[in-house]
Amino acid sequence: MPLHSLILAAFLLGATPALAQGLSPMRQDFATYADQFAIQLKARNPYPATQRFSVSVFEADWRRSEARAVTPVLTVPPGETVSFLVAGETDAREARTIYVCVLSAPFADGNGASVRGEVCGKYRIMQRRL
Amino acid sequence: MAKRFLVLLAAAALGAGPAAAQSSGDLLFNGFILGSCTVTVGVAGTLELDGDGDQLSSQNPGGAPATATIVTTSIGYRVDVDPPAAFTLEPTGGGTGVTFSASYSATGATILNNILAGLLSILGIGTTNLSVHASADRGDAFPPGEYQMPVTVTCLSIL
Repeated sequence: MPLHSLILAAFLLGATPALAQGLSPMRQDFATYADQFAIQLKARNPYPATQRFSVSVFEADWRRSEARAVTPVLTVPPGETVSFLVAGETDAREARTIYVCVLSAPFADGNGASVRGEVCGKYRIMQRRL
Repeated sequence: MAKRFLVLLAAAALGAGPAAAQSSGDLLFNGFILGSCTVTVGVAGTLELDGDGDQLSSQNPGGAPATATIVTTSIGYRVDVDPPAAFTLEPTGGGTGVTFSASYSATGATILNNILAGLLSILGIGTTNLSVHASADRGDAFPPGEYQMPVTVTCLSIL
């Protein structure tokens, strides 16, 4: 299926996003009629400066997934929300669970310990047949 | 003016029948708020050397924990803290033979005390104030220089 069709499907299947959070939605079931899926999520930057978030996708057992964020690094202006797509194969499974994590760059002030904030959402990809 | 009054009177008369049949009705408003979890990093921690020079820790005198704020709007979220795996900044040889550890405590919507990093904890609904301590230990003294190690605070959907 061409990518633009998957993107359209993601828009149609995506849930109404909530504002004021790091990742939206945090959990959701998505349905696809193709052998591939693409889901649209939103990352929000709650910080007063532009942030670069990296997006990672994991399987239900936290192995790295072959599903990928189309844009693995997001640059998000302060207080803004940026949409991104995660796309992959259904692998002919009727239901597949993935985790999508959005990780901030380290916050450091030169005193030795830096902190990264991360938010991980849980999603089920439901394979439908016509 | 008189014409407008007549129109209003006629409208009232036409509406009188249905109004008499049902004197009141409820209008329902439905809404659904998706659960959310936000992690906002506060301040980075401060590492200090112990008296023997073989431990860099935010719990040594002069050290300070890193902080983060987690806001949840529903149940079904856990917090996880990943301990450092290596220094991201170190002088030559500073990272040799080092073991890392971290622990975290929470106040606010979630009360936690000194939980080892790597153990997940269930988050309460509301604002949780998290403080994270981290340490690096080695058998001999750390060489002088600048050190930095990262800790990751994760809010995880579990439902």
